[in-house]
Amino acid sequence: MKAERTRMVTHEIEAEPQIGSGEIPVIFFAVLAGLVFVGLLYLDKYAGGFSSQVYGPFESYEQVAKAQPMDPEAKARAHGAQVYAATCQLCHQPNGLGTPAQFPPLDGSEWVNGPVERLIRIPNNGLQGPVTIKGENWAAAMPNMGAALSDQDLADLLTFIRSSWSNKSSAVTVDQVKKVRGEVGARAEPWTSAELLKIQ
Amino acid sequence: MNIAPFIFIWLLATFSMSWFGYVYRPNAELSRQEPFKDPITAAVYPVGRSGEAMQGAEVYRAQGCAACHTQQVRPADEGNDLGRGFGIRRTVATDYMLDCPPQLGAIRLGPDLANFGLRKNTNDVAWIYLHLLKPKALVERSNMPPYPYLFEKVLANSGHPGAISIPSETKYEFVPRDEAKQLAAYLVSLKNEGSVFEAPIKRPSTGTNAPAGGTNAPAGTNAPVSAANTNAQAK
Amino acid sequence: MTASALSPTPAPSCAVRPPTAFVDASTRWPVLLMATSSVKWLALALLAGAVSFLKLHATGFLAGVPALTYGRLVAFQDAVFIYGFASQAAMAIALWLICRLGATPLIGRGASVIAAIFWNIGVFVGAIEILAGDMSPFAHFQFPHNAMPILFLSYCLYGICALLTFAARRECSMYPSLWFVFAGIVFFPWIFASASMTLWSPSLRGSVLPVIAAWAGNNIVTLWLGSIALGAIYYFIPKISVKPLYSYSLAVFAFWLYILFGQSTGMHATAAFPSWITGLSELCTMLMILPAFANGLNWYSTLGSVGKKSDDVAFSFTWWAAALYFVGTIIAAIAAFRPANLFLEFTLFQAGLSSIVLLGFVTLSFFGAFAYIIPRVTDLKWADSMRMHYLLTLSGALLVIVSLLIAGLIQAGKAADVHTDYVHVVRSGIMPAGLAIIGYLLMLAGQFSWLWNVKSAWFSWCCPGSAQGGRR
Repeated sequence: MKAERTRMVTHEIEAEPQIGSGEIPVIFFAVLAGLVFVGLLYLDKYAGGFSSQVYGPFESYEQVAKAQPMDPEAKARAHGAQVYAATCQLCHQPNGLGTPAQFPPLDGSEWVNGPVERLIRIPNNGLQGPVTIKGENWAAAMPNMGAALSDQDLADLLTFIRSSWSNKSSAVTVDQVKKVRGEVGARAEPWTSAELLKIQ
Repeated sequence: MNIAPFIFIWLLATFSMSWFGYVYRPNAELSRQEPFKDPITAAVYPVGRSGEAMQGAEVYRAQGCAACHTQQVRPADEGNDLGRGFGIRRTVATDYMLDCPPQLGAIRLGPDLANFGLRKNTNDVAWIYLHLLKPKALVERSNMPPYPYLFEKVLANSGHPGAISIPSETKYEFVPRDEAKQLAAYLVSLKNEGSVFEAPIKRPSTGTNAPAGGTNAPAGTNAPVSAANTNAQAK
Repeated sequence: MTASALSPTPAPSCAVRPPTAFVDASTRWPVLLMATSSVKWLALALLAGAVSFLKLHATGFLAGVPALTYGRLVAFQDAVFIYGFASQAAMAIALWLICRLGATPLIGRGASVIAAIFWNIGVFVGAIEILAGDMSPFAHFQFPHNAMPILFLSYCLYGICALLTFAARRECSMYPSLWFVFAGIVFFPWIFASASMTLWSPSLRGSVLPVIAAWAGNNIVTLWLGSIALGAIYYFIPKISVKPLYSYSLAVFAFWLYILFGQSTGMHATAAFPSWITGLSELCTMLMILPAFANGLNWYSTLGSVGKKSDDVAFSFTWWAAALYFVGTIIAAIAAFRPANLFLEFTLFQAGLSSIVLLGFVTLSFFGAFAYIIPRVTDLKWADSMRMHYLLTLSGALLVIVSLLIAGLIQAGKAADVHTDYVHVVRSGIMPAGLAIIGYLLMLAGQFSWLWNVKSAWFSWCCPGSAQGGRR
């Protein structure tokens, strides 16, 4: 830079830029609104519900929770809970206590916690006639609610029932269900209490 | 009309929002995280590194390895990191829980190192030393610079234990200094093999069809409900 | 230059404006010191950039020197560029714009000079420590912790002077540049303090630090450097072309959205964050095209028929800065779209994006401002050879930007094939990136010529052999 002074007169005041009154085209607002709308849809899909624990490719906390590995028993119980909700809950209630004088309880029932071969037969074919459950006399009229279930579904369902509420019995396996269904064959009548008590 | 106060309020409001969202909330949610316990294997992850590996992390930081190597692995749907063997699952914040500081890296001018300790050839620490001394001896046409100053140069066949010799160099051998040993210990400790809540690993023993490894991602990303059902009834 | 041209209806409470030369001269020493120091740091950063890219090609080059290992040079380049050059230049330009647009002389001239001196000390300390190996892995926060208080306190001293001057302004209406400048000088300490207090804190787990580092690093560039650079462009385009700014409402629209969206950009090219951070970042990066278009339309309509015909160096720099800001925002928005983001992650394309913003938009805007400011605060004529600085800087910057973007695209293409060995993926990009070495060297040569020319400004003031009238 040359040491050449600019001949600026020191009392001058420079003009600074003025601001015009140009209009902002309306399309800016339209595009903004459109992009925000599309953006919110984008966030819906990709933002994982703003949870700190959701990472791609999961899209919500529920997905992550469902994807957790479970040991086979926990998995069976979780599945059995779903089957119970769809098949048994209406009568036996979500808390397994049934309705007095209408539907017997499963919670604490000796039929549930007893031999597995007895239990499998009940939903498979139904239960009819007088039966004693937890010291009370019932007139059973249960249809074969579990006949249409697959072996795995029935096994998981019974595993669930045997391990829920205050029940702490062992799981029911698919093999056990298959064996019992094989023994029962094509039987159509419901079981009676006396028949079941003969099975150990 | 003096609009400076209004501008200031806008600046403060937006800054507070982003500070709250990116600084306060992650800290509130993640700073009391405990290592994750795998529900099936009961393995705890992450476990701390050994003292030598922690010192190695400092050597890693001081050489600026993060300038070329990342330690982040993308999931199966978002790039082919898993296919390249960079890991068995994606990385999440939990993986860096015990790193001080985490060395994420941003650009890959070399392979990702998040799971260096899982590679088959790294049980051989001599491989690591030779790679640091002369990367081109092991990886042809490598762009990695050599790090001779991590080693001490001695005459060949002078009986130093643990001396490394370079293929083209007959006169000298190289004895790893402490920094090289620490760095090797750190690299071998880089493993993200534990399952974590955010990136669960499906075990083959649960009898699924998912490949052994890879995240348990829902099949198809625009139907989360059906994906959840698929998961629940997986055999 | 005409006599006073105040706003059409000056409010009665606005004080009489002082002569412009008086205002300019009041900023002389802080601005000159900060500008010269910043360009020296830029030269060092460019040298580090050139050497580091050279090391990628000739891997054995200076490999035995620990202080010059690739990782340390990259960290040195980043830190020295952001804090040594860009932040200091931003501080100088912000100071001058506050004085000019507020029509008030600088309050705290000595304090500003002291602040500048200590700022440089802080950068120096940090830079030496980086070369010694004590650096952080966080982008734009690579200085070790003990350099941070020096920088922060210097900035506070500077900021007090700037804000006092701002508060004492005699021009009652705030020209849009001042909004951006105000935003920048207010945001910087907030971001810097947040980062300093968290990134090295032992009570924060490592799982949190990458998020905070990404947020702070992005904000430093977008809301501090970007704001000042936009403020400079907003001032110099109408000023040099002697035309009124086209639209107030476009400027308002752009400003509010830039501040709102700018805080969440640039955090999506990673694989370690929860999805909401990457999703929001991608979205906000794409939304930034709205302020870019608003700004672009505003500047374009302001220029009208002037176009690029002016041969004023300051105008040419500013024009290119505006163009690269606009183009860079669009490229970043395209690269933020999820499929594109996944394609380009972890390649040199990210370095290219960073260089459009930093070397293109910010650097060129600051040099345009310097080309206008330095002659006026020193009362000296800008030499014709400064055109060479303009050509070298511009061509070098464009070369670096284009070569890195292309290198990144090639790498991304190769990386998409899982069977391509990673060595080949990297190598495919290193070759085009070699052009960046030439780009850095061109820019470096330009800075030498700038420093040489400005040197005589220093000498003419400190050694008043040929001093004439007009000195204040």
